[in-house]
Amino acid sequence: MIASALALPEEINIRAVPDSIFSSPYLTLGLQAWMPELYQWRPIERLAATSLDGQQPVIFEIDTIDLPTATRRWKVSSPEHPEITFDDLRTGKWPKPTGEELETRSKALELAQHVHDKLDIRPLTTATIVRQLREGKEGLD
Amino acid sequence: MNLLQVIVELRHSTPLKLFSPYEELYRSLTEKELPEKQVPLPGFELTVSEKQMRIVVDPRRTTIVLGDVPNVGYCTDNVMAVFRKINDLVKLPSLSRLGERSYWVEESQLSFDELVSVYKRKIYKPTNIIEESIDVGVSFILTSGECKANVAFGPMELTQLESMFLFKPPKLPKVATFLNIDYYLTMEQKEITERMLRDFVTSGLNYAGGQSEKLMSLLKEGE
Repeated sequence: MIASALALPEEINIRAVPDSIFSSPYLTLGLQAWMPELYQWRPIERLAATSLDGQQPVIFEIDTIDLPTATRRWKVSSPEHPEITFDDLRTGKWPKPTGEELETRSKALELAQHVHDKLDIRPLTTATIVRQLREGKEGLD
Repeated sequence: MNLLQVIVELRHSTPLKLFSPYEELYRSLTEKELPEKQVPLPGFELTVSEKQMRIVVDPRRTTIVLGDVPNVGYCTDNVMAVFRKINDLVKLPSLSRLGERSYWVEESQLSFDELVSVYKRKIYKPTNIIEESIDVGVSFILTSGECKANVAFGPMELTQLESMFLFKPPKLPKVATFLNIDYYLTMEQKEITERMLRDFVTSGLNYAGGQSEKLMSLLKEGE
């Protein structure tokens, strides 16, 4: 892949003429100063890429770090699905329902349907609301 | 596509006070600015090998690099935890820019030359320059609400791919499509809040994930 100026991390500072008067510690000219044709690749906006560039930072390396992340703060406890973790739920890996859960859901749906039929529940449409307001009563169709 | 590296950067409109203690002390004692600008103290860089994480704090920016990103939640969590700890120690100044760069890779079963041909066919108009080219790269600036995104992608071979990562992933394909999305929001001196940062990190990764899916469906279209 040919990397455009935007794809290059900001920390890449190309010295066109290394070890010369043009690249002394007091004067560093970028690549575009030496190859003006590269200007045509520049975006309208000033190049300000997200980068990890640090100016001569003090560097440390360690093995591990203790961070109070949500994965450690939250614990999922489901007796039916002991294998499921917080990360599983967060990444959308929901447990498959057990036979017992499926049966309970089916009973709940049956009951809901029964209640729906008994009460003759109908969707409240805009037309119904307008009619009710006009006639001043909660009449059924 | 597989998410393999994330960089989140907070760019500050004024330097962190931690790095200019003499100016701060002078200002607080005299209520005047220091007559001569002092060179700020050097930045700080911490690499955590186990978590494949690098934290960079310097006068003008605070950055986290994550080389292990199993999912968006893990990434958001770690970024928030690190920034919270830094902010507890030294109050982060107002922001001039928020940026989130993510690297995505999708293995290709084609040879590199064949993949370049697919790009030439799907992305470009057939001109004599395109026909002669042996490698291509694509770069766009897109907008998404208030945010913008520098989107760059193209075919890569293993050697080039390896050079892209700060923490080398355990297994990289021989030939792949590489996608580099820099999602960012520029502003003028905006105070940072936890909510704002969390929403930005999540929306940036969701946006990049959506773009990666679009790119793959474009490349596979009509195959």
